[in-house]
This record gives sequence, C-alpha cells and structure tokens, in this order.
Amino acid sequence: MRFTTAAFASAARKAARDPRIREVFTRAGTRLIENRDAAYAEAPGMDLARDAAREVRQKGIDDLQRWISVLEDRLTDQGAKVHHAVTARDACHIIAGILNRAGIRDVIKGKSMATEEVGLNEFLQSQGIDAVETDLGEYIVQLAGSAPSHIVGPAFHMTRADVRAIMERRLGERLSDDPEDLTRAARTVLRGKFLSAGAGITGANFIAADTGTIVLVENEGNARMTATLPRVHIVLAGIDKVIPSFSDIPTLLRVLSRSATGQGMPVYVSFVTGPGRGPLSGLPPKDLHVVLLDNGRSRILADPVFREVLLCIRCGSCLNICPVYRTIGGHAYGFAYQGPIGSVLAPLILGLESAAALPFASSLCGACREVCPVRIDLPRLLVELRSRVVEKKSKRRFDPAGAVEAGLIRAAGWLMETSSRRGRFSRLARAVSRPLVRDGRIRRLPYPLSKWTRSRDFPRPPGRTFSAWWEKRDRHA
Amino acid sequence: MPERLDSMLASWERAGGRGIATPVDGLGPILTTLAGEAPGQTVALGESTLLRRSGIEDLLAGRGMRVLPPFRPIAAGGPAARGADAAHSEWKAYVETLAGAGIGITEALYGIAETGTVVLFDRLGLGDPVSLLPPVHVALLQVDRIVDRFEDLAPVLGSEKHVTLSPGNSMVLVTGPSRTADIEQVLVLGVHGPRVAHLVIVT
Repeated sequence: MRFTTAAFASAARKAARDPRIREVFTRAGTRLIENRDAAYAEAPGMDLARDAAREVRQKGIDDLQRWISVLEDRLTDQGAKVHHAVTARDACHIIAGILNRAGIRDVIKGKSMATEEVGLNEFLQSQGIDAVETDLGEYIVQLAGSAPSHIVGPAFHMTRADVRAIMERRLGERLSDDPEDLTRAARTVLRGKFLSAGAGITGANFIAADTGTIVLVENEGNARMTATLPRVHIVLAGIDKVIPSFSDIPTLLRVLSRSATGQGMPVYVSFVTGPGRGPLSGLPPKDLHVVLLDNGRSRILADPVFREVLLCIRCGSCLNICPVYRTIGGHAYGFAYQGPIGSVLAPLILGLESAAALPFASSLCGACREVCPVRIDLPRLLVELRSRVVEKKSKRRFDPAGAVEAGLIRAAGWLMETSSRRGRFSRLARAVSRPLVRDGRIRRLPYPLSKWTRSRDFPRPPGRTFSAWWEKRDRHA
Repeated sequence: MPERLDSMLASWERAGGRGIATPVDGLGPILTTLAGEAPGQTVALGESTLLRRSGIEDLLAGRGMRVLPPFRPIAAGGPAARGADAAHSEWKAYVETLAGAGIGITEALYGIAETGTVVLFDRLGLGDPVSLLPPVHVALLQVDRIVDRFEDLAPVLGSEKHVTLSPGNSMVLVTGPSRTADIEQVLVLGVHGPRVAHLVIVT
C-alpha cells in the first residue's frame, strides 16, 4: 500500500532537521491547545464530562458486537443497506460496486479518515471514478497530490503561497494568496460538484445503534451538502464509531469540539436517520449505504490491553500537544492517523513489522493522556507496543545486536537494584568517563552506546547516589 | 425566561452569528430589512408558521423582491402520480434556483442557550438546503423553545415518538456561520455554507 510507516525513522530524522516544519506544527498545535484549554476553562464540570465521555465509549466497546447487531436491524428496517468490510480492500470493492451498479462516475467526499485508511480515492480512480474532496483542506491536499498532515487541518503544512500556486495551476485562474480569495475560488468550483455529483461519500463521527442515526460533525457545511444533495449517500465508518444510544450523543459532543478546536459546539451537527427524501417530499427516497469497516478492529477489541484505543473520538488533541508531532509534523508518520494515536493505531492496524519504529518515537511525557477527552492511557499503550516489538524481535533468528542490547539492559537492571551497587557504579563511571566529558556533558560514546548519544547527551555521572549526597548536604546546612 | 434569551443571543454572537429579538409584529419589517441587504437577489423561504404569520411573502413582493417559496410536495399522492422523473427535475430546478438565492429564511425547532445552537428540522428529509446554500441564513426561533443545554433536548429528540428522528426526516444543529481555518489557520467564514448567520428570536 501507499503507507510509509516503515520509513518512519529516516522520515522523522529528516523532518526534525526542517525548521519550517517545526515552526508550522508548533504554532498550529500551540494555538489549538490554547483554544482547547480556554474552552475547558469556560465550561463548568469538564473533568466530569471527560469521565462521562469515557464511560459512554466504554459501554459501547464492551458490548460492541451487540450494538452492531442492533444497528444493522435498525438501519435495514429504515431502508438503508448495511455492508460489512472485513479488510481495507473489501471496503474499496464494496463502495466501487455500489457506484458501478448505479452507473455513477462522479462522486463528492466529506472528510473521512476511514476512507484515507483504506485508500479509497486511489482505488476509485483506478476504476475510472472521480472522487473529489470537499473539505477545504482535503481539497487543497488532493489538488497538490499529497497527503493530509493533521486530522483537523489537512493542509497545515502548506503556506498560503503554496496553496495559491497549486490552485492557480490546477484551476487555471489567477488568484491572490489571501485565504479569503482562495477559499472563494474553492467554494465556486466545489459548488458545481455539489450540485452535479451522483453520489456523496462521508465518514461518521458516531452511529447510534438504537435509532440508527449517523452523526456528522463539521464546520464548513460540505458534509451536509455531501450527505444531502446527491441521490446516493455512502457512509464508511469503523465499527468503533458505533455507540449504544442516541442519548449518548450530548455526552460526546460536550467534549469533542472543545478538545478539537476549542468550540463549544461544531458549526454543523447532522443527524441522518434512514434514507433522506422521505415520503412527504414527493421524491424517490435516497439510497443510503452504511459500510462498517473492521480492518483489524475486532482483533484490537479482543486484546485486553489495546482495546482501550478504540475509545478514541478523533479529536486530534493528542497530536496538538505532542512535542514529537510538533517537531516532525504529520507526514513523517506515513499513515492516515498521526501523532500519539497514530503511533498506536499504525502497528495495530498495519502490523508490528511495518510500524515498529512509531511507538519508540515518544519521550512518554504523558501530555497526550492529560488532554485526551476519553482519558486513553496512550503512554501505557506505547510502552506495551514497545514490549511487543522487542518480544517479536527476540523470537526471530540469531540477532547479535538484540542479544547485546538485552544483556546491557539486564546488567543495568542488576546495577540499579541496590544503593551500594548504584554508588559504586557511579564512582566508577565518573572516573572512567572523565576524558569524554565536555562542559559537564557526555556528547559521544563508543558503539553501541553511540546509538543513544547520536541524539541525546548524558550528564556527567555524579560519582555517588542521591542519598549519599543528601546526607553530606544535610550536615552542612 | 429573559436570561435564556440573553444567553442564547450572547452564545450565538460568540459563535460568529448576529442576533436580535423582536415581538412577532416586528418580524416582517426586520426580515424585509435583512432581505434588502442583498438587493436584487431572490429570498428563499422554508416551511414556517412564523413566516406565514409575518406575511413576509407579500411584504417582499410589495418591494419587488423575488421570493422562492418552500419546495412543496406534490399535492396529489407520491412520485407515481407525477412520475419520478418529473419530480426529480422539479427538485433539480429548485436547487439550482436556491443556489442562486441571496438569503434563506427558516424556522428552528429549538434553541440551545449554552452554545448558541439552533435545531433545524426538515420534515421532507432534504437536509434543510434553504439554511445551507444561500450566502446569508436567517434562523427564526420562538423564545419559549429555548432550552439551556443539548442534554435537555436529547431525550425528547431520541424518543420513539418524536418525529425528528423518523426515517426520511433530517435534523441538523447549527451554531453560527460556516467557517474554516484550513489555510495557515486564518479564519474564513462562508466556506460552503452561509457566510452570515442571523438569529431572530420572536418573543
């Protein structure tokens, strides 16, 4: 596939050296977190609101198969068609099949991470079906032929000059680089598509099982148009989007936009319950297709540790606050989902082999867990993934580097066990390291420790334990 | 309750909308003024008891303004009576005209004061395009239909009996004008939906 998670280590190193990437994503992340914090401060009881949101999501995950079954019955009764896509490829074939049977060649799309995950646009294109993104950021990124770099702002990595250059080239008209002007140009082009497309494809933020209601959250209005104007509406949603009841929706809306952008409510929340153009409209009813995507989610659900990741409501706050994401930006992750949540989802969905480096790209600072509206313990999941990566490596063929590393870790563990060993080791290390110290820091160590010092310094070993230092200090105080 | 009204207007304005309150006899003149802000452009109307009471169609016609009345279902029977193709062409023509309108006026079912949100319900299941396609939207709201929080409404909306979630209908929560910050995080209004969102609360 076209995901490049296997190249993460080199992509991240390259991105970390680009000051422009750091500037853009630090500014975007800082701004979004400031807005998030302000929204949380101004509304009362947000701590309880997060607990409630987690509870609601947990209730859904704990009995997911049952809710999916309830949902399927409900949707079918309403005249919608339900499809189950086990793999990403299934999802592409199912959707292409729906479009081919209806003879539809021009499609509009609302923003959907699930469609990125399965590579839908490329597949449809290979079938001669033109799928145009309508979310402004996604549209720009599609024109540029590149990938989104942030869950909420797909085009954050582009300057207004970049956007203008792409739009001028692809639309063939002169534009200024004023965002208003650029937006207006996109609005005009996309209006034409909204009014002529044969089908609209969206994701879903949530799907309530008891009422069969699909919830679409947005600020632009393109999801509303995509879902309502064409005769055919196709929804692609991961099975983890299913929630037990319509009554759960306010609890989730309470935290979603506040976490994502700092808004009390998104500008538009659409509730799609059954095919639109009802009997009172005098029009033939719409075709509504709901494609429920597994792509590894049942496997994740069955794992007692990792099932927690399915609580995610895709707000993006973990990206916004993550110092790693702010430094390297979204593209380096090479996957539909980025930042801390992406670092957990990529190995789980794509496999440990292809995404082994991602869980290690974290200082485990815990900021992501602090901001997560459903309190996912991301650092714990990252550490668990590291442990699985190492376990898997150790089970492979003869691995001398791995054996040395394991030996060093065991030795370090032994040394740290008692204070007398720690003290003696520290004295030894201070003496032995004297020639390597510059300005109180050790910047370079010989192989294999050079792998550590390539991007980190060691402080000069103190020569004694903290307790020894404390005892001495106390006497002189 | 006056606090709810003030809170509703304040929240709506915080979300980038423009709000005003008026007794019902002030509604016609206010709407005529708002319609006059887009001179020469068609005024699209949604199904609304408040609009009918305001006599707005006559007021606008009297000023020489073009009115696009709500898309009305076929008088006699469903699609079979007129033919699905005829109904579909009528719909396409309506949408084209609506897309060229200067302002759309619809009535909200409820208002949520905490967030400045109006609940729009389209009983024809068309997704309330009058509130979405023209660049200016006016939402009318009766003051006694304002609640404090969405939590207060959800049990009503989600219940079996309530018609808003019956299949074939559509419902949308709207909070202010369409917006994006996708280009360099600069705020731009009116991306796809309306650039200006008015709220007129009728007391």
